[in-house]
Amino acid sequence: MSLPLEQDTQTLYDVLEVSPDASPNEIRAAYLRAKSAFNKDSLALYSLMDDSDTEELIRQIEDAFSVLSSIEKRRDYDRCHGLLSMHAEPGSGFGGGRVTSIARDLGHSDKVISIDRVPPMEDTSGEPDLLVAPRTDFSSESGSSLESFQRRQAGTGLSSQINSPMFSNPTGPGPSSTSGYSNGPNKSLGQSAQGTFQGNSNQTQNRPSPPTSLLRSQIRPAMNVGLPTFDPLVDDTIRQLVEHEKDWKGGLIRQIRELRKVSIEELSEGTKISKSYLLAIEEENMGKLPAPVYLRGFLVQIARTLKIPHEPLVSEYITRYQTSRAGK
Amino acid sequence: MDGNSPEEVFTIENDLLLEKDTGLISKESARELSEADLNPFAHITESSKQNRRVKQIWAIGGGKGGVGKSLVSSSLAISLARAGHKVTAIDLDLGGANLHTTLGVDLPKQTLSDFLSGRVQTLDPCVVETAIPRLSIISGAQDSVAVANSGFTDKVRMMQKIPQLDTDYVILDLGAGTNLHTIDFFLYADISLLTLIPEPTSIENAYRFVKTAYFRKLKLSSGLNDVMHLIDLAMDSKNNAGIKSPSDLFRAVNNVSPEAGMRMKREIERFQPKLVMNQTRTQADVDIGLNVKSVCKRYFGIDLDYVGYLDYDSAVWQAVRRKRPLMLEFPNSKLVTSVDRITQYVLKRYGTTRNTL
Repeated sequence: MSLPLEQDTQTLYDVLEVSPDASPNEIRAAYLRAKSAFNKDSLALYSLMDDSDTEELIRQIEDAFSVLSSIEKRRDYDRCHGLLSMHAEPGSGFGGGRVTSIARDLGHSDKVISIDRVPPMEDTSGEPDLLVAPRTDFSSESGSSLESFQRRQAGTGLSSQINSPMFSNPTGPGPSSTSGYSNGPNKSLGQSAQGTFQGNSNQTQNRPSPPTSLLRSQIRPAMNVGLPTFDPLVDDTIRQLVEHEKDWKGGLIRQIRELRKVSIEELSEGTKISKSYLLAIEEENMGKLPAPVYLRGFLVQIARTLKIPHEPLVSEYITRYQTSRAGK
Repeated sequence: MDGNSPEEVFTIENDLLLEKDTGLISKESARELSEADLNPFAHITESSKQNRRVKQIWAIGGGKGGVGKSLVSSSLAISLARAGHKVTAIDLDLGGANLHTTLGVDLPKQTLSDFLSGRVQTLDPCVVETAIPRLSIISGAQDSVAVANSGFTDKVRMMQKIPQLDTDYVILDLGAGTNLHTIDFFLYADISLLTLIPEPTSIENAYRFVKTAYFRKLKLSSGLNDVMHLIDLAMDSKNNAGIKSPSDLFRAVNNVSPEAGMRMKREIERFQPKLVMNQTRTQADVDIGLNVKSVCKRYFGIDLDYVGYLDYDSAVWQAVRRKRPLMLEFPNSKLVTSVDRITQYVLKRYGTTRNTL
């Protein structure tokens, strides 16, 4: 346990209240938790801390997250602070690292049992085999599972914490919050809708635009994708586009992506979809696209990342795809 | 309850002064010491510690009235009793005693006032069996004005006698507010639970409670005499030494000596209250508990263990209206499972915890 009293000796992990071997999901969840606790509207601050006290804290939390959410930066930090890299990611690139952390989140050993794998295209020269990303529900801003919820509340201790059973049994008492989440894919990962922060997502709707310290250059983590620019003007333009759109072609996706100042690389990094596929989608290169079941997932993912509604984009696109395939 | 005759108080004060090694001072000056300067824990004799029969003492506090302390206390007591343990619940909300009603004991014949008035010398005659097997209560009912304003010696006597009750678990239902007795019993217990509801009024009172307990704990610790003047300063929120928060105090103490800082830190680490969130209606309400935990850690350096939450359930007011225990009147309420969960968790994790005063 680190006291706030020891500002100079607390680590970034202490700031986010996670253990040094926390998975990226846990870190992200802890970050969102910490932000919500010290957000100036937070009830938990009432009568104890005011804005000037929390400003510094929020800054620390943002800084901590920007380091700990990037694999390279985190590795460097751990090395400098003599922390064993218990979360060492073997292999190169996103593929290997991501798999390990998913496995740990699911509570499995480091052997991943099943992966959704997209069949590689004909000419994937130099392109690593890509895994379809697990669903991250961007609309809720927190994809944390019940497991990480309880792990987090059990404190920053390491393995032998006994977690409060209140939080570990999804069928136990608690507000039966089932509304508001299209969490089909989440369920397949064994997560329960009950543990998700329904309240938090309601709060985010009413909050003003995020703090300007959330510079895109700082946001490189796997989860927080090439964040679209939070420019109200851009939002407006896009909203207009979406309202008047009839065709829902790849060109629209490209247009929106460019308006949001997201490059193909960034989009690829964030959605885990290969650049070739992304380009094929935008160029409507039907011959190069995978089967509809994958294509649908890609389109939803892209829409989510670019913050546009995925219907009717997905249905229109798929229809067009199928027509063109049928025509062949 | 006129146990507060000047001679008695003076005797204790005298012992205290000798213990604290500040040398003898005159009777007149000693009388000027306020009760806040007296350390109740220093007077729990070795013999009373050796005669301890009780396994664990749980205290339920929270600062705000009406958040459900009596409900939580009685429910936890029933839960423990049903799990096979012998339990005695004590109503320490002197002047506001409600515990007996929540346990379905209408008009107890013997109460705590018998002990406080000196009519009986131990707590055993005050114990009343409830209709629930293995569960008994010491009620605060039929109390007089005098009882509501008991003094230091009564507190010490209680602290000495409680561990000698013929029971496994003692549940202390503390009153609302942050008065000295409430805080001292909260610090005295082996397991101290804070009850909160997800409302700013409750949260504010809870923080006030924690703050008071925090400073009181430091004040009562024997290893911090050299920095006691700083602690006293910190307790006055309008002090002009610039000590506003616990971090400020720590910095000031550290300046005196890092060794004192270490001692202060160790003292705080021994303060490990638990949190129960009551009357939650949404996931956001539940999350407030987590936020409070984070804020406490950040502000006080205290590790608050969030042991569980209890949903708002209209069964509660109905049970109270009927003057029947919730757990028995509405056995199918989800609250029953929640309470049992909390009990099991605390037993599992803290089963052998004993407070070293």
